[in-house]
Amino acid sequence: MNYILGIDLGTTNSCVAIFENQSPVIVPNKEGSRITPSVIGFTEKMEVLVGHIARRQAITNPQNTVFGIKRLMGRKFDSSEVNSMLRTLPFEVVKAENGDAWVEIMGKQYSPQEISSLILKDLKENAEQYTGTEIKQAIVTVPAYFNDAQRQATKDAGTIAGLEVLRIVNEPTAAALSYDMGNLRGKVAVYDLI
Amino acid sequence: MGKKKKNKALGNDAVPTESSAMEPVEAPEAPEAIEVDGPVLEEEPEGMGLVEESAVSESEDEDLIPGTTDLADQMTQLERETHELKETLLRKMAEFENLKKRTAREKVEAVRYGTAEVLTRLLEVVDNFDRALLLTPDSEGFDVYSFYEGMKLISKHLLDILKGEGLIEIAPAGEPFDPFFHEAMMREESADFPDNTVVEVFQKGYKLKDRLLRPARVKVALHPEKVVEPEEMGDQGESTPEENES
Repeated sequence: MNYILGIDLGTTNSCVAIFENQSPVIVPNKEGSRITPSVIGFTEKMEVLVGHIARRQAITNPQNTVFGIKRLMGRKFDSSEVNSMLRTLPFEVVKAENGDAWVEIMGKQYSPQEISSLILKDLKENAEQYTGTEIKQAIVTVPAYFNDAQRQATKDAGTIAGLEVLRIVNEPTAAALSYDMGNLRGKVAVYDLI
Repeated sequence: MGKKKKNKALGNDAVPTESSAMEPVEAPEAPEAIEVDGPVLEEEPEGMGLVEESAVSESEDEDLIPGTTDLADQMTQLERETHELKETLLRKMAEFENLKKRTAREKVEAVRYGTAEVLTRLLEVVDNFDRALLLTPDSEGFDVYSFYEGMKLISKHLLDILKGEGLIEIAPAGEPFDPFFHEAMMREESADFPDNTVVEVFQKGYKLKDRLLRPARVKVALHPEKVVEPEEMGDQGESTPEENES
């Protein structure tokens, strides 16, 4: 069976589903939760913690815990969006050679794509464990306002995680598609609250 | 039946370029019905007479082409096999649908009544509370100390039942902080403990067998030597990760 993952790569939480027997199934993570916080923690021994575990140690390790990386995806360090974020982020954001906003953890620089790939990889592994098969392809959702650079960055994150991103779908489109799949009860308005 | 099949095999030979898209009803004598579809066969009975006629009229060809009978036999065989496979497939699909429905129903039942066994065991605890609460502070011979002892016993009984079900307590005071089972609620400067030691447990955590039910909520020691670092970072160290989320 060739599964294609459906991934909601969120700012705060992420979620992965597979399509089985004509219906989508949300894959629970190793802790049994259907959502995984989009948080990555690096320990002193350079171990990578993902999700709930990373979030639980955030207070003890603020400089080395990255959250909300989606807001840096495909953005320039000098952009006004990144500038306004800098003051509130406990981890260090630096300017990469190509002008992009990257993060620096214990002297090592990571692109937002790399950080996101760690989340995607975790979701992929959970799904592989759940289905008992290797999974190589995914569809990832992005905010409707994402520009080309941000969409490409999301695709790159997938590639780094070992996933071929077959399609990037707008989040409101994905929501609308879900209603097409038989979730429709009455009239529905889909809107994307940023 | 055999005749019909033969005819079809024949037709196949006689008019190889005939479009298979032609409707059998429109041209009953056209031998295009190469398709071995079960349903198509069943739709044809009206045309049967004509088909058979053509079979008769072309029967000479049958003799002229050697090996035709073999082909016809093969066709018959293949048609039978296809039919059987289709039947099997339909049956399996129905079986699978039933299995899916039954599994879903069983899952609902398991969720609805799965707690029955544990609840039955917990009833003993409820009984004990009932007995204890028969006495009120106004009752004759009410003794706070024996009441307290009784409560302790009931509490132990309850925990024993829960532990028997696989509940494991997480109370990590004095242990190194471990994000896999603990949740850091705050840090406190302390020279008495090594860095990253749990100095206080606000709320105990619990595991069910190997799965975490709830992390222990703890206060974690921050060694004074380490405090220098966040100060260097300036005002950046102030915010918490939970802020500014959309």
